[in-house]
Amino acid sequence: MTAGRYVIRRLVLLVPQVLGVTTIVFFLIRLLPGDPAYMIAGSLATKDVIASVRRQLGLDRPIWDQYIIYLDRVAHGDLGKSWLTSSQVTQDILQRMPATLELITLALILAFCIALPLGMLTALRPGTVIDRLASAYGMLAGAMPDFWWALFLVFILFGKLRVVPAPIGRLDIALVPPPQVTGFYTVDSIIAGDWPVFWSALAHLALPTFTLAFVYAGPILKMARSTMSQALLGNFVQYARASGLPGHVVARYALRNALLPVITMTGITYGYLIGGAVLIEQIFAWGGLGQYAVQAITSSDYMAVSGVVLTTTMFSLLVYLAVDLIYLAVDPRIRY
Amino acid sequence: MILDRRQLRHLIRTRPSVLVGAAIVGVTLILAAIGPSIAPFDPRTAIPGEQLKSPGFVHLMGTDDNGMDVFSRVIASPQTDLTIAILGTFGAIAAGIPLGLVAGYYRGFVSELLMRLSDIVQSFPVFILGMALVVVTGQEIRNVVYVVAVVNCPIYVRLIRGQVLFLRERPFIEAARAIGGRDSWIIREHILANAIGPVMANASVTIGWAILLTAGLSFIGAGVRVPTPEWGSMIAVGAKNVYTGEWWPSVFPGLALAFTVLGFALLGEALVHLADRTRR
Repeated sequence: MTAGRYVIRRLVLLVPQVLGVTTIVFFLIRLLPGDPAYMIAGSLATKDVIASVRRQLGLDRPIWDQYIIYLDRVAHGDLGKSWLTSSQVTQDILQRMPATLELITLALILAFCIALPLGMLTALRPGTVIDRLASAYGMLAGAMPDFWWALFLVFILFGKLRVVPAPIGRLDIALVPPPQVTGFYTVDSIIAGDWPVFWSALAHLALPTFTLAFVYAGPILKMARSTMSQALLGNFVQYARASGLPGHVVARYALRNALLPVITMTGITYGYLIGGAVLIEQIFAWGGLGQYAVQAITSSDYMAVSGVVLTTTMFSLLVYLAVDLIYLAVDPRIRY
Repeated sequence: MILDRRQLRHLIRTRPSVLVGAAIVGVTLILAAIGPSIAPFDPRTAIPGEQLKSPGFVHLMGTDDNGMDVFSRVIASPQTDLTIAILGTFGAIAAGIPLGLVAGYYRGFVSELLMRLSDIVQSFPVFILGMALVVVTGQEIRNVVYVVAVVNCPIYVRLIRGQVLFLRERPFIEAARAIGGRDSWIIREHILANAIGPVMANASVTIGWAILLTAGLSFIGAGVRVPTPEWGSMIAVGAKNVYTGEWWPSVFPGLALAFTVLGFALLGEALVHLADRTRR
């Protein structure tokens, strides 16, 4: 099979996956407590009003009809209306998504930049002090609750030392967000040439980004170390060494072979974090997707809940697909 | 998985960290059994007039802003956290084993369906799904257990299936079939007996991870609630005090949580490694 056909096959496979996700979400949401019509109409509404809202929402129809209608709407990008913010869920999500993406993208770039060199270094010098320290860090970081680290760092760096701004939102309250282009405040402020906003956005990003990077670099580091050590044992490395190539060239050969699993690990973490940074978002009042999800869940805002679950799941699926396609592009051994 | 003394000695020599892990797990298990009864104060009751006392001789880890003794609550928490994590993990294994056996032994439509379902469950955002499930079903400990079981189940389906696929083509299975063994007998006596090792080894890793999930859910208010002693909700109770400098109600339960997860991870990693070695 050629690469092109493989890509097409994978894209086609996404359809049943997304259908499955949508189906599960639909039936899960039906189980939420409370009558949505009653919650929209308010507690003072008469029976007639509630009945008319039910009709409006299509809740009086058989469940299979509702299911078909739901599928049809989702296919057209309509995730329904949130009764908490009383705007379209799709709009709410699009508005909040960049905040989360900016946070986790920066965090994972940072994590990758910490984990890969450290993993390489430890694999090249096994048994040294640095190797032990790095292994201990990899083990510890993976076991640490990220929300606890966030609180701890807020206590030290904001509470005691005042080197970071208060953990509330993405900008100083006095500043106006830059005109939206990408939704990333750092990028948008550069485009707008608004330096005070840029520095403020960066300062607010610093602590949550560092917390996430610090915790999630752990598993990536472990992966980098183990694949790199394995690569260094490979025949091609021994041959390169025997041929008298200098150490850094040999290390580069090994790295090229060890890189892919590390990229996969980073990709999987990225897909996880889109819905997994909830606690960090909550602590820093980030106003992203995670916080929206918490709000929606605690107030039984069922259209919003299903919207968020659907969006984050699709995002994860796309990230995993992208990782597989990177494999295809980078690894010459893989031919589908 | 049977460990003989020689293997154990080898494990301890090559991976001394397993001792640390085992010690932490041991202490936590003991606390889970007797923690609430050896606590100096009642972990569920607030002491009037004793809010936010800093750590000292009376209150080893201070008190939180409800006036509850932090130390008593920290050592009473394993009963909650470990119960949820262990029951949830065994739920995941109990469901994962038969599904994994079916998906591995019988190929075809059912197997394909099971694997695609696992894909879907695994691509759900664990945390948001967990939160939604707990809120949907009501905030009871029982429901947190179900959530832990559901989100971890695919891991075991995959693990068992992988083992079965590896075992089913081996000569001894062929031999069992050749002497006229029925499928149910082969699966039970030959495949399951050989596939169970890595599953049990992985349980420790899952338990550690399940403790984190439980604590995270409780932290956000979608899990165990005050006054039940539980590390995650304790951290949440202390969170607002952290900003004003009273660090102890959050920091101590966080440390306990981190050490416990680390313990299970260290032990689990060594066991997985061992299971892998014996297989080869």
